[in-house]
Amino acid sequence: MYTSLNKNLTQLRLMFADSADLTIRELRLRSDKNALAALITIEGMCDKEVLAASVMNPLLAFDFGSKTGDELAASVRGSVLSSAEMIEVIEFDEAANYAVSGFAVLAFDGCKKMLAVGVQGYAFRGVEEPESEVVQRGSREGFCEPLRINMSLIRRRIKSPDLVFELMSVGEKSKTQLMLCYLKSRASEKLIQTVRTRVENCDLEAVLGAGYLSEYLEDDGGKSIFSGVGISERPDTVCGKLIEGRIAVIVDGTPAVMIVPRLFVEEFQAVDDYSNRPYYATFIRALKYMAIIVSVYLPGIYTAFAQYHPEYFPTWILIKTSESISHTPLPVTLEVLLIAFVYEIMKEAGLRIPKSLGHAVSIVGALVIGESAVNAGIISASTLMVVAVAAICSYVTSPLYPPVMTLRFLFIIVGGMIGLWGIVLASCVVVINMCSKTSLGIPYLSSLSPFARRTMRDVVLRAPWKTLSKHTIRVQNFPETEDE
Amino acid sequence: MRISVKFSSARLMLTLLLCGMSVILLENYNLAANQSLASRMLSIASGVGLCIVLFLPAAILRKNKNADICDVLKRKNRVSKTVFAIIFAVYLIFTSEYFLLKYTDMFTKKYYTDAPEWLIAVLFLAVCAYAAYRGANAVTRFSIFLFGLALIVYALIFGGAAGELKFSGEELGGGCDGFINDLLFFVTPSFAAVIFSLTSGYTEKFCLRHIFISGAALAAFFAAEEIFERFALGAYANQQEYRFFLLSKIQRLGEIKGMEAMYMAVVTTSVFCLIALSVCAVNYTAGGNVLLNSLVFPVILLVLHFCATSFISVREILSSVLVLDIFSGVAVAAILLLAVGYPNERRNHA
Amino acid sequence: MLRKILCFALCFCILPLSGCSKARHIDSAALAETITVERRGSAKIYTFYLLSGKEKPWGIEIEADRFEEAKRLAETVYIPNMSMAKLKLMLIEQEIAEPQLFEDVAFAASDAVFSPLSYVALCDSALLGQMKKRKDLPELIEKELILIKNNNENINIDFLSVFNEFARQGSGGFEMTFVNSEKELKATRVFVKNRGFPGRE
Repeated sequence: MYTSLNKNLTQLRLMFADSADLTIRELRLRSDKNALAALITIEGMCDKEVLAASVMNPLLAFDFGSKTGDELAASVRGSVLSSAEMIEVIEFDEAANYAVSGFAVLAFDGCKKMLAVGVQGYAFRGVEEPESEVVQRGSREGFCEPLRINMSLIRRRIKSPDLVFELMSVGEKSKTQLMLCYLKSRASEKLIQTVRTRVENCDLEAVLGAGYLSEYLEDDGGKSIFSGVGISERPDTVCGKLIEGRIAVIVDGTPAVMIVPRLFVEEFQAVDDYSNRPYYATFIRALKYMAIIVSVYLPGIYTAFAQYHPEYFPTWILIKTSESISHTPLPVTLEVLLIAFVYEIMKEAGLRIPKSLGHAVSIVGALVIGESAVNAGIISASTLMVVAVAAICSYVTSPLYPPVMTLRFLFIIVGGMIGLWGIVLASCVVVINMCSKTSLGIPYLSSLSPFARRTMRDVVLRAPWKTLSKHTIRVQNFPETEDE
Repeated sequence: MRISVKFSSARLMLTLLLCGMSVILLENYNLAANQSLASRMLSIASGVGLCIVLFLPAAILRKNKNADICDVLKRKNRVSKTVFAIIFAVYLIFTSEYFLLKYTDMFTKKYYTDAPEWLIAVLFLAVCAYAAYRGANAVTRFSIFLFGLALIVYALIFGGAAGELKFSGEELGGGCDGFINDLLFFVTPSFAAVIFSLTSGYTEKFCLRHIFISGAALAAFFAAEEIFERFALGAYANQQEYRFFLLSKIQRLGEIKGMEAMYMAVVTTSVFCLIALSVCAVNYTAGGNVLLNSLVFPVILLVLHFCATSFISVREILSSVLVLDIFSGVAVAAILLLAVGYPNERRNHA
Repeated sequence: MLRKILCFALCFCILPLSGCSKARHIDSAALAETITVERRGSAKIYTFYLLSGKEKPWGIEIEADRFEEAKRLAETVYIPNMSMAKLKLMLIEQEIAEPQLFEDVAFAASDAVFSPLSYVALCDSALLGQMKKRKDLPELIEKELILIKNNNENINIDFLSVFNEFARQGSGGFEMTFVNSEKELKATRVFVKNRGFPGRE
């Protein structure tokens, strides 16, 4: 930085290319030597009231006497301003970063340093109920976009000095801030270092959401259909994972937090399981496992039976199914694929459509696709029912929807081409793939395979809390955890 | 991505147990007719007992010297290494082909009668090659799911067929030839000893009792199958090939009859584990590029399969229980020779 | 890259060859549920009643000397997609029960497609005539067979038990069912000599 205020301001204007949101307010301070200062802010990032009350008014009211340059800056920092956050900056890049982060940067004539004062006040959405992880009994708070608020939501739930937040930055252009969050006494140093290294190795120009980073955090670079990185919108879920020794990655601008490592069995665990009675939670979990199997296999098995093994249908289903399929023009495989494909289109349309038009999609879906297509004989009622049941079952564990959908299509194609034997072979391939997948070195199917008896009390069963509390799961203690 | 971490020896034994069950699942007029129940049980006990004995050289090498055959071969000169590697590779290929032939034969006779055998073999071997590429650890992790499936299927088959059991007076019969024939058949699971000797270096927490428990479980399974065939199927069992398939057809639970689809699932996954694990073991012996080995050996199996389907004499050799047993003896003798010569020191695996 | 190329090559070469043309589609599949065997004049007629949603029973009649021949003709000449995997009941006219019963059961035992638990019973010719008119008859017969089995443990009502009885050495004969339709549908016990002529109890 320069000693001259004008030169510093010129440099900053050049850096911001005279951007319209760059605001520079030059100040003449009360002093014997007509000390000059300038306040650099970015329009919309600072709270104007706080800026006026805690920066402008004290600055303009204070009599600096004969102080100049460094003395002036020291005096402002030590005794004039009442802001809790004040950081000295000595580089233009640093000053620019703080300005775009909502800080007010104070520059003084005759001083080679600037002061970044924390007066952030950008607009953001408040803490609301998470949309994707709805619970009956748990908290209704969900993460929101600002990083600091998300941090506070976690800190409120784990009031322990053991909880560590590590600030990092990713994205060459976006310089997105993120926090690594973990419990120092629980998380393994090796895991933390692995996550740190992978975040540092992210070479994207802009990281605009947590999803951008998730492929960098995975062991196989995101090639597998299953994800080894979990995402949650709920602070209570994240805190529960932190206690197990996992690491949370909070990305500024994303109302969700990534959790690593992520295991397959966790997709079937929900916050409500720990608030409900153990027998009910166990029942719901078993239901989820069955629902996923039905969702993945039912259309494929139906296709295989209809194409190759009609004798496997019970007689009463066989007659009705045969009659309904015989009136349709398409082969069973194509029919199932078509209905599944149309369903995916409708689902995607329902997700993107403005809420005011959402009802139209439901009506079109139910009447046009459902009833009319069956009445017209384009598709059969039994096929439609099979695909509909499979689709409903897939929402039981919505984080698993992408792999479930992919596998469903795979098994439909394989079942239609080769029959039941093809489905068995495809299952072998999928299971072998899952067995060889890891998440931060921990086997993805841990608890099931490799079998860990102690952790099974919280897999299909939900043992009572007295049993669960006897042995806390630590994720790095799962068997066959690999070294980096 | 191949897994480099060690896995539990108990899981390897579980996988080998599930592979060993393929022997009886694909039994096809291999057992002597008119043997009494006592003679058959004795042959089961003797056969499985002999398998356990054949396990001992590899087990002692593992237990006392903390090594497997791959470790031993690393210390040999190039010629010896090549010779022994060839012996084990040829043996494992022969064993895999033996089961592949039986499997494709059963499959085309019982399920897809119009499908060409070569196509079944190609698709099956492609999947086995993929599993072999992933490594023995992944295959043994898969076997945990196979174990769950097998338990359910066997419970349904045996439980459902229990209603057909009729314990009539047992006729004493059979001779020495029949006993020896049966004994040779029940020694077939000794391939597990060779696979164990080549892959045990990747395991930890080995315990001798795992071998005895697996052997006992296998013998119990063989015995249960024999009892059900004899007293539930009776003379009907000799009317068709692959008697376990017939057993699955007489299963009855209320209105639900016939579990042949479940039998197909279990036998497919069992043979898949066996061939995948064999190719893994060949990989470890051969060394070099894993992807290349995982492709080359299944291609060799496929070529052998083509030859077997085209030439009866080749098929007879590759399906012969006697040849397989002799080969097993040679392989175990090779293991013994290598194990005896290995110095008695502890080595750590990298 | 090599893995991807190999994978795609394998899929494109193999999957289309894997038997799409061999599929037996459910809408065109013909599943035989009941088979009856009777004599008409000097010929033996095998009637295969197929599973259908129609109100009246629908079957095809094939003249053949043996079950094996009748099955082969049914699958190759008459209805190519025919499958016997759903066969539940086989009725043999009492007049031709010997040696028909043994031959037909022996053939069923040697073919993988037949379930060993399929019922087999003797019947009179009147019942065979009613089979062509009443669709509910096979179900009623099955109920009668199950009832008689529950009351008599030694009676043999399926391929498995009948075959095993035939195969039992030193056995003079065994009991199986005779379905009578003179007044009402009823299954009774009948003694069958081992490869001999069946006599009424």
